Amino acid sequence: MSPYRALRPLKGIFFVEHKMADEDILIHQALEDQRDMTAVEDFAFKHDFKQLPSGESSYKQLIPKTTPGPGQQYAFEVNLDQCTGCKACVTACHNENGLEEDETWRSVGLIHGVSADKPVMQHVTGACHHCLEPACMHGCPVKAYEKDPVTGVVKHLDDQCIGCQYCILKCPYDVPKYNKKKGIVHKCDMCIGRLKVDEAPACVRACPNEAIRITLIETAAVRQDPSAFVKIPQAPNSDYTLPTTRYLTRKKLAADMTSINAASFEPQHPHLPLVVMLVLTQLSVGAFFMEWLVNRAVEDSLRALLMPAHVFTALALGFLALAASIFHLGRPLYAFRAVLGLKTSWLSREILAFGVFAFLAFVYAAHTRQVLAKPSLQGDILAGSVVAVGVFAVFASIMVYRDTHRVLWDTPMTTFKFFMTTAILGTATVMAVSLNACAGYSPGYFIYTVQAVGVPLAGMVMALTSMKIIVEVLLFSHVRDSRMTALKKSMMLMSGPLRVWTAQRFIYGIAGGIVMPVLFLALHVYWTPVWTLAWVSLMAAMTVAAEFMERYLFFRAVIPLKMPH
Amino acid sequence: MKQLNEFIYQKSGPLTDELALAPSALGILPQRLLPDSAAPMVCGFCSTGCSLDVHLKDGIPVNLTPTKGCPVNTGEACPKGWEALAPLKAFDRATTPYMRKGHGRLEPVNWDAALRIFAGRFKDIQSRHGNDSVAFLSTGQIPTEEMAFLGALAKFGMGLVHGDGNTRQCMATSVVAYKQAFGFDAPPYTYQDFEESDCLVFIGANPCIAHPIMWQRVCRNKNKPELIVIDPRKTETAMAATRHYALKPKSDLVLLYGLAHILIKRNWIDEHYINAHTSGFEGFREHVESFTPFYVSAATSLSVFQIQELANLIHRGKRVSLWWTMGVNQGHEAVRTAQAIVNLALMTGNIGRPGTGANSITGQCNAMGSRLFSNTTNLLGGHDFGNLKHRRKIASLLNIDEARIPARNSLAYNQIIEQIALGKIKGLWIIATNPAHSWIGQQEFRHILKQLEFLVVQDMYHTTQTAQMADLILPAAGWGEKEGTMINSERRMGILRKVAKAPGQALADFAIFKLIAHYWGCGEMFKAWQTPEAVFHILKEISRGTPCDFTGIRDYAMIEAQGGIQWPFPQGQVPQENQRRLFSDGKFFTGDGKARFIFEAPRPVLEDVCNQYPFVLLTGRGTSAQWHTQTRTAKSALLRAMYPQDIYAEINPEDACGLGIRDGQWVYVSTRRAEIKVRALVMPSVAQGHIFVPMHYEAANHLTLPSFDPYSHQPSYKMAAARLAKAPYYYA
Repeated sequence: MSPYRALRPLKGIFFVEHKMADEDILIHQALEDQRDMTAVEDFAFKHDFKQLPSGESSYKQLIPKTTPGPGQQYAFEVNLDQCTGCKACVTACHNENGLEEDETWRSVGLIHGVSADKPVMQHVTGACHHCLEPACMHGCPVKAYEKDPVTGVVKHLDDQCIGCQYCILKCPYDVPKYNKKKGIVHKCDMCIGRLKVDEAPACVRACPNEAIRITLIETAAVRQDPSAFVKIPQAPNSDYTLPTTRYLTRKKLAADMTSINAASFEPQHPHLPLVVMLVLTQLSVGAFFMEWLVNRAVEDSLRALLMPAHVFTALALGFLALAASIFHLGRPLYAFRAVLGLKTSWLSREILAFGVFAFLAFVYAAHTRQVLAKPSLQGDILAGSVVAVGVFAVFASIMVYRDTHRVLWDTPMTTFKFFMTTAILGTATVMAVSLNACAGYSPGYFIYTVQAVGVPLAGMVMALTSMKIIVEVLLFSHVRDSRMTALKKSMMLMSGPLRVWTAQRFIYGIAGGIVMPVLFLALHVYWTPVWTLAWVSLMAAMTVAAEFMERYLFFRAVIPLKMPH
Repeated sequence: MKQLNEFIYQKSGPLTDELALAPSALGILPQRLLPDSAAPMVCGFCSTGCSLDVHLKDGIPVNLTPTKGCPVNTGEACPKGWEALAPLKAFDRATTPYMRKGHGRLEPVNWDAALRIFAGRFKDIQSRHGNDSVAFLSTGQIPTEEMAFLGALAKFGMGLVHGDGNTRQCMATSVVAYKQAFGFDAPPYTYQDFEESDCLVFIGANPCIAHPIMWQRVCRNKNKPELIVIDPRKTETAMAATRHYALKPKSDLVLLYGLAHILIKRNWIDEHYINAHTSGFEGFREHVESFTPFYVSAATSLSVFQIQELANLIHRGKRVSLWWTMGVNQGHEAVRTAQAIVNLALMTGNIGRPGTGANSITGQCNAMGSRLFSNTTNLLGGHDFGNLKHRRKIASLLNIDEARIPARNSLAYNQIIEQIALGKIKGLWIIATNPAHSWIGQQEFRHILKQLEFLVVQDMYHTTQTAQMADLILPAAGWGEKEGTMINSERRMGILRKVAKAPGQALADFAIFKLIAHYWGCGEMFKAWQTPEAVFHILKEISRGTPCDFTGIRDYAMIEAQGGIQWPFPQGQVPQENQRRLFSDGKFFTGDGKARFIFEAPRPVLEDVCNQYPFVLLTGRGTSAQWHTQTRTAKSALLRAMYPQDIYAEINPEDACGLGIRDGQWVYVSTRRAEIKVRALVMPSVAQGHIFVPMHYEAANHLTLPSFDPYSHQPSYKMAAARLAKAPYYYA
């Protein structure tokens, strides 16, 4: 592209002859003048900048005359017929609230379709809908959200936030915004600071066409007919959060209108710490369960060899998982606050459950020697409670995701995936650890372990993995759905921009979870112990890698709920 | 205990305080950014001319809100205005001059070296190929004082003959149309007319997106007006209108003549006004005789009923105003189309009264300043290079030798490019515009640009497509980093202030011109041109006695105090009305004081659709968050989030269905010039057989066809024959 051409050599005669100093002074002067800002003093106007200007605000007619009475709250009202899509509200929100360079709490989408044979297009401006049952608030593990009892405004407590971003996953309207620099979430508070002094919110005052206003609504009306609020084609159905924004229009907005973003959807944030946390916690729970199964089946001397290795591995990986989850937080120092939301938040419950699980697992590990020496009821209860709490914790993980109402994360799919991961990785890990643990002992032990532990577990890994992979492959049939469903989009993402990861997921899964166990079952009698060990270790590593990929795609291919964009 | 409590449950603290609000004279604002003073100034994007208050804290601009109580924007702004400070902070600002060195790379040099090379190269070229072998292309984006300096320096100082502005791409048609019809380039309206009209007809205009603050005025209209949009596309404005006439692209001239035909046939005309204040009507009456509703219906694909209905609406309106923008201006017979609009206003007496007029909505923030004072195709102040008296007047006012003023007009933009292609023009100086992106038939243009011996680009950014082709880049200060005045669409002058420090060694264009004058050896000639305000007074004198006389403006402070002042404002006038329109006395600026009916037979387009290229390609504004070639708007993270990142084409659902194209899919759009890949936006906004590609994406002008109006030489961006095919994969 460079249009380089060799320039003709110049002769000095074309230069105007001055004394060098002349130019230097001129250029210096020009640069000085450019930097000189003293003129600002002359033209910039000064007021008492600490006080509001006297005189009525011209936006008074756009906000209620009184504060909400009992049974009422503030709500946004948007007259769609007045909105032309200029998006001034978006920028005004940014400037008047002093937000980060790329941050704003309002956005404008566009839906289009055909109604009565005529093309209809409609811009839709949206911010927080200040729901009656805010999903963000209920999901928050640290109680960093408040619904003001008088105004109904859903307010975020910035200093209480630990930056877990669960509210972002929970909000069906994509309202809370993560601020990376501060490590916390921000969101629209309806400019309550302005409303308190009878000033209009930034977006209300910035709309050239007065399309946005604040009204008083009866909360009973919202509960009675939730569908009358945020009544926009393509907007997520949210009768569980009860949003309060009312959109008015004289136009007919057909239900089959589609939005610009209906077609262009992108891979989401991978949330790597969560990928690691989910996969390894599930591995750990599964390993404790399999340890319990295996060690009750084998004879005492072998158990003495296997159990410490099993328990130590499961415990170590469990702790690693919990450590990884800390990296997900914007403010990890305050992670301990995460149990405050126990009453409403599955995330709190998950965190607490894994906390208890880790504690019990640690106690169990510390008492391994005693348990081994003298099997007792207490030992069984301890082992049983580790597994029980672990299974409950995995269940809580499932609830954390299904509670977001995202289609890819619905209950059956997430339950299947998470428990299958638990089973597969628990089995593969215990198998690999078992063989490694007794490798240094007598060849007899090793051969016995291969037969008694390796063979059945390899069979289990193969069966479980086959099931999981078949179900996951079957989901791809949604690519051929005639409608652009969320599942179809997820599968299109996995077979499109994410195909590299998808391929890896299946290659590792099939190799480590099916082909390698089958070959192990068929050929292990011919193998040397070293070869067997290497094979089994690689097999376990591949299954773990496969599940990492599966979970990575779980986060990246999900279609978040949001207003039409 | 309290501390422990707070450690566990903290309802307030430093993070909460970060976003605390506090009252101030400018309203309730973020406490962190609370200003200690503020400077109102006119926005530097479009021609609406909104006033923006830049908030200053310790002398540094920290925030911005639209000026409340300003007669233009009454406290509102579009996203570009709200984000006007963001482009100044971009990482790719040119902070030093750059010169293309040995390996073809652009490398930083100091100002002295840059200016020596500038003068040396251009003088060398002139000495070998004549004075007119160097030309300049300027802009509608810099203040009037800088434009005048550039024009005077280039033509009177450096001896250049040819120079034109990017206003050729947007407003040249209106200039020619007004000049021929009214005797002067004079948009007659004031924004108040949006509120006072009872029937507003928008022809090829999309103010909802292109001029949102003007649309605000329409929304404030209390007369329950008829809002009529004539546009092939269902634009945002068409959606908000009461009626939309989706005519065939480039059939607007036929439609306008057809409307005149009906108005005359039914005697819905103002005979008295026509007789008293116009000339040429009889010829026009004869001319439109053949534009019967049936003929017009066939040509425009509107029904006879629709055409009659439209004529009826214009007839019924008591205060009909007709507004046009690029849909008209960027056409192959644009001048005659604009004049057909003028004719409608004249014959129905809809001019000179509140809420009426044949009104061209301008494009760029200072296109109107460029039209009067850029010294390109007009001699300063709307004078004529070919007129000896005018040359004498200017020479004596500027105190220069009359011989220094060229006696011939500059070539137009497209002709300058032709001359480069022919090897006649060898040196080019481009100021504050990005033609390597914006010029029609872009790739051919880039090819031609490479034939230059020396190309200088003066810009805020060293990364624009054009700057990347330059041999020399001169780093310029931008809006907010310098001062001057700009003239908006309703002829209102507004002030631009220096509130921010320019980065590195970037200099105001004004300062660059001053330095160039010195290095060229003509500094003496511009001795009086010390500051923008000094130049303002010179221009004031030039305007004396002309239709745009603004000798009554005392100084910048007066403009600021008034919230902008509309020309004309001759000496002695008292600032009373802040909304003034032209021609209320029925006197026009022609020799006999009468407006002219000008008309001509419609011509076919240069490239119509055919079997091979069955689609009409339309281009235009994408969103209100995008401006021109995006050199500035793309620098704001906030604005970037408001428009699709990938280039896209709006495609009608029927067409998409026929070709098996799904929404969001990648498709190929090709014309005889090029093939580009775009994302399909399957939307009923375009009619069947049409494709719309927004102009802000670089590839859009690979497709467009260099075709020009013969009078205004404005490029016809809105008509090319195209083909559509889907890419093999959804995610290509």
